[in-house]
Amino acid sequence: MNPAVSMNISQGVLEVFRQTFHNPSLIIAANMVTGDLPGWDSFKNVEILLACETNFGIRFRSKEIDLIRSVGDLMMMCQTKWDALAPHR
Amino acid sequence: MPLLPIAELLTQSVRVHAHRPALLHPDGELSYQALWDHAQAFALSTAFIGTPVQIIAGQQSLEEYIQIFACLINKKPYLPLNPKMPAARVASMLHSLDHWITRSEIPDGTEPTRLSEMAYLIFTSGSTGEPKGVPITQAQLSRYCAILQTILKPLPSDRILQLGDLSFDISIMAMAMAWPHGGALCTVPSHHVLMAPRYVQDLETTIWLSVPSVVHLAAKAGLLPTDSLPQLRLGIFGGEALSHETAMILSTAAPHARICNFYGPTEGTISLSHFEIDRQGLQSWPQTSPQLGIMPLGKPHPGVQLALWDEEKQCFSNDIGEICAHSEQITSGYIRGNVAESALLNASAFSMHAGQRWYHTGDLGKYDPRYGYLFLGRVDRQIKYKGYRIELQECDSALAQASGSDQACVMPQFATDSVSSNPEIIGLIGFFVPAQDADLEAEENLHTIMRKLEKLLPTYMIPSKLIALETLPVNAHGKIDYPALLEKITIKP
Repeated sequence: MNPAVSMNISQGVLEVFRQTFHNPSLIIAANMVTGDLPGWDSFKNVEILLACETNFGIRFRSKEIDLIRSVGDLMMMCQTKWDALAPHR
Repeated sequence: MPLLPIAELLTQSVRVHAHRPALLHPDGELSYQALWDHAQAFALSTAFIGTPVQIIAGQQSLEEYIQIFACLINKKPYLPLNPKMPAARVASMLHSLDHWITRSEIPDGTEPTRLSEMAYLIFTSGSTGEPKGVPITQAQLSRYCAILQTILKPLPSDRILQLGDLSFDISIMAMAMAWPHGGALCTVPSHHVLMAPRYVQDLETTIWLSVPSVVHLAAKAGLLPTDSLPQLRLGIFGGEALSHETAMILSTAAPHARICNFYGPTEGTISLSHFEIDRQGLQSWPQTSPQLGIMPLGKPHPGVQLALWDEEKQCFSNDIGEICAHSEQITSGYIRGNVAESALLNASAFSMHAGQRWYHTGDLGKYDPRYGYLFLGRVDRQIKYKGYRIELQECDSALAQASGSDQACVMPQFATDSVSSNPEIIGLIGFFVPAQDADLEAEENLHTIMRKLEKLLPTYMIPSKLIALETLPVNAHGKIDYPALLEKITIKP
């Protein structure tokens, strides 16, 4: 995983995937994209994004969603938004 | 007033709206002037000049929108593909196209549409198992822009949602609503299409355009609560049957929007009729009436005649029948395999009555003076699933090929909790009789067949489940008993 992403975020995103795909032993990689797991479609993407928003207390704007093309992009975006909220926590 | 060609319409739009946004894309925003400049630069490249038809791979990249615009303003036809299409299907389409291009150079008058007149070509599912190309001319596209202007009155200030994949003509409807009128096309990445409500909110989109299932699924994810899209002034559905429930969801989320249901096959240049839904009436809509659970198809567009064909009596009637259309908007024929079929060669889809050429849609309907045409289902085994039109015969052929069986049949699986007489299709189930030496239940065999199907069919045509049977049920005529197969798969979603 990208060293710029904290353990908290990478573990949190992993948990989101495991819950979304109902697979507690699921392993993910930064370069994975939609379709790389059975059943991973655009509806699963909505579930993943909304679960990340809930877990980290963030909200993705459309411009940010545009940039999320892989698991690594998602982790980086969660990290960026998490860090931006730090002064308010 | 004479109708301007599509190239002229867009050129004029660029002149008038040069500095307005034409395209809002994840990879950048382009004004009309910038879109024009990029398109004309592309038109000078060998990638444009070297081919008679522009192939659009369908990645929905910024470059592809520029290429489409370049084609439209330079009167060059384009063929949009879908990256999820199997290589064999794409090869079949390109083979048909090559053959047609070669023959088009011979002006013998037998081709359905001449290359120089064509705006785009879209391949649809074919009943013979081979996809068939539907050529739409520049004149037909121009007239369609005028029809949209009459019905919807798009404005330069409009921002139009573009969710459809480029091989689906709802994407062309979005462009036809935006570009000739100075509006902005707002694209959403295909893998985030169900996040569309978030895009509408952030980009201040004013026109929603999608298949109903996008609204249904986005609402299921909690993205379309009441009054969440107050800036929408138009909500437009097309591409598949619209349920009352889905119309209500968008109506409630977008309290200021006119809601319209558009209907039509690819052969009719995107749409042939529309029904504007009365927002007040929607609240008290008689959706428990079997024929009104699906929203009406409405009345024909200007320049379109619709009628109901009685197959038994072989004439048009006022009773339930197959919806047929007569219009200059109907394609002149199909491009398939080594054959370019003129209208009359394809008797199953086109016919002549009282000197007029009619296209048979395959949709069953009836006419109601209050609502216009009502959709009652498909007359044959052609279905609409996930917004795509599918000839189940094509799925049957692929399953037979993949399983090595001569008995294979793919059936739609319907949701059983619907009050509608036309319940939602929630999946496809494949039945087959295995070859004699194959193990009926072996997971490994089913897995192998699935892998083969992935090479033969687009994802949306692949059955989600395969069921091996000792025999396929047959009716008294020895034909496959479809109702008996349906009974085997009637389960709750």
